[in-house]
Amino acid sequence: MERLLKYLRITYRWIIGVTFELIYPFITFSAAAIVCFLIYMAVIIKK
Amino acid sequence: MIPHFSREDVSSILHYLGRLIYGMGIVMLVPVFVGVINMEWAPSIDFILSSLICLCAGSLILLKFNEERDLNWRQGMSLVALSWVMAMFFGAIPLYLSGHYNSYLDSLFEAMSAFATTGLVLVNNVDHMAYAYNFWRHFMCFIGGQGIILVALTLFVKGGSAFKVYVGEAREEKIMPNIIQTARFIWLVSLTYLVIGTSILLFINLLRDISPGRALFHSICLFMSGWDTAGFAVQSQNILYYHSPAIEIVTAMIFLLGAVNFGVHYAVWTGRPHELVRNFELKVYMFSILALFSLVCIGFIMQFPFPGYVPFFRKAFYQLISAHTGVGYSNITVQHFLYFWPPLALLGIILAMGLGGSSSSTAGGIKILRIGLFFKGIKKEIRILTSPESAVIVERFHHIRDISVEDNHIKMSAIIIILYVAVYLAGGVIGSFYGYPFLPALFESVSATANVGLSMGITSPLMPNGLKIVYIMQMWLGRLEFISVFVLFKFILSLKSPQ
Repeated sequence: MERLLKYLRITYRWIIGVTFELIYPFITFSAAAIVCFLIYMAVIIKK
Repeated sequence: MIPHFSREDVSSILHYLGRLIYGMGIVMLVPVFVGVINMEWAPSIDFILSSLICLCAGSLILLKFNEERDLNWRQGMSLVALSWVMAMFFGAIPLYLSGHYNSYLDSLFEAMSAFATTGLVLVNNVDHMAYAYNFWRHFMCFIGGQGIILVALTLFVKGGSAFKVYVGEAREEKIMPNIIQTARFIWLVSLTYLVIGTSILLFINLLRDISPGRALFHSICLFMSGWDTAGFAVQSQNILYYHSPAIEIVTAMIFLLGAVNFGVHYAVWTGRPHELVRNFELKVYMFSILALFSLVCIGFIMQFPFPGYVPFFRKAFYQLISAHTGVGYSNITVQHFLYFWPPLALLGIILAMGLGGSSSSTAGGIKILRIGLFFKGIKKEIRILTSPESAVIVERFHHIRDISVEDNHIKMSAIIIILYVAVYLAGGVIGSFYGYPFLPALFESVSATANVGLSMGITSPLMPNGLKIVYIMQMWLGRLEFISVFVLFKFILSLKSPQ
């Protein structure tokens, strides 16, 4: 039973980890992309 | 004085080298399987022949040097540098037999480019290449990106030798206490994402009405090349071939994850997801992407070769992150780079390529952690100079755990940064000597050394042979981060000079 719980805990962490890693680049990339785009638009509008 | 290499050193190195070549022979049976299921008989025979050559060469070396000993540091380092050269020579055999290369040198270039996960190509007519050969090109990227030695570690390097060869392959961080466990963890991460990434790409390709077999082939190849930040693609037009924003987003996610330190993957997978937010290297990475994309944007103020802002953003941002992670996937043509990109925007891409991805990942280049440490070192020095003499200044950063910046960290980072910059510039100057303008020559040199694979058109089957050899050397040096190659040079020189 203890061993089963241990494996379940590892699997749970693994699923959470993979999910976070898949979401993380998407969020940070979108944020970085939007910031860069805003900078660019600001420069263009000023010009 | 540095000691000379002895007969015992040679024997130990050759023993493990024999095993590696033998292993190459076994690995070459995978494309045979791809060839057989696609009923490509001639390519399958080429791979069987190449495999037999490797098995025979490996067996002969093992027969002569059959004693297994633990490797010391210099043996381990020399073995790593030599392994990559041997992998190039043997991996190029099936490529040459394919008939898609003008010479054996061209296939050597392509093999080194694949193993070093560079992505510069000299192949002719890749659009009509047999599946087996094309799979081999991408499979070499996968093996090289994981690390030829890391592949071997999981198979047949044991004991105290393991850590020495692991470090020699430019991976300093031991993620787990045991190096074999570390190698297996790296495989676990890669295979997990292989399944996830390939499935998502397959789904997108099927939605685009590509036949199931072809969609699976494209998806696997795109994943292997993207995850290991190589940049090879099945078609000559690279990612531009698909004209698909969905594929661009998914490949971007794949190569960003591939360019993340395996230590961070381990932390996140073992219940510490906040590492993604706290990690110093990732923070520097995001800052660097923002700063360099701003530079690219400024470059395009005077000259705007895009039909609108959205296409501009899609193309320019993809190119920047592709350059920064070292993958070299491209959604524009070489001519677009050459004729329409202003110098300042190109400088942004060159800097992104030069800086590279995370340490202990599949990416190349200087590595973001070193850049961050270098600036931390400058900050520490300024704090020391502006504080009272009795003050104790401690500069810290979080990378898997809290670490204080030591002089040794800064020294090693500075040495590697200087070496990379010197090789970048040297390659640019050599390219100029061959008659190419300096900016494209520098672009190509940085792309080769940082193992990126973006090109401004210099890399082609028609470029001078001398330059092909220079780029092969740069790819090799850049992938192994110099030190193990320098130890190998010392080894070769000590064999020639008297004791």
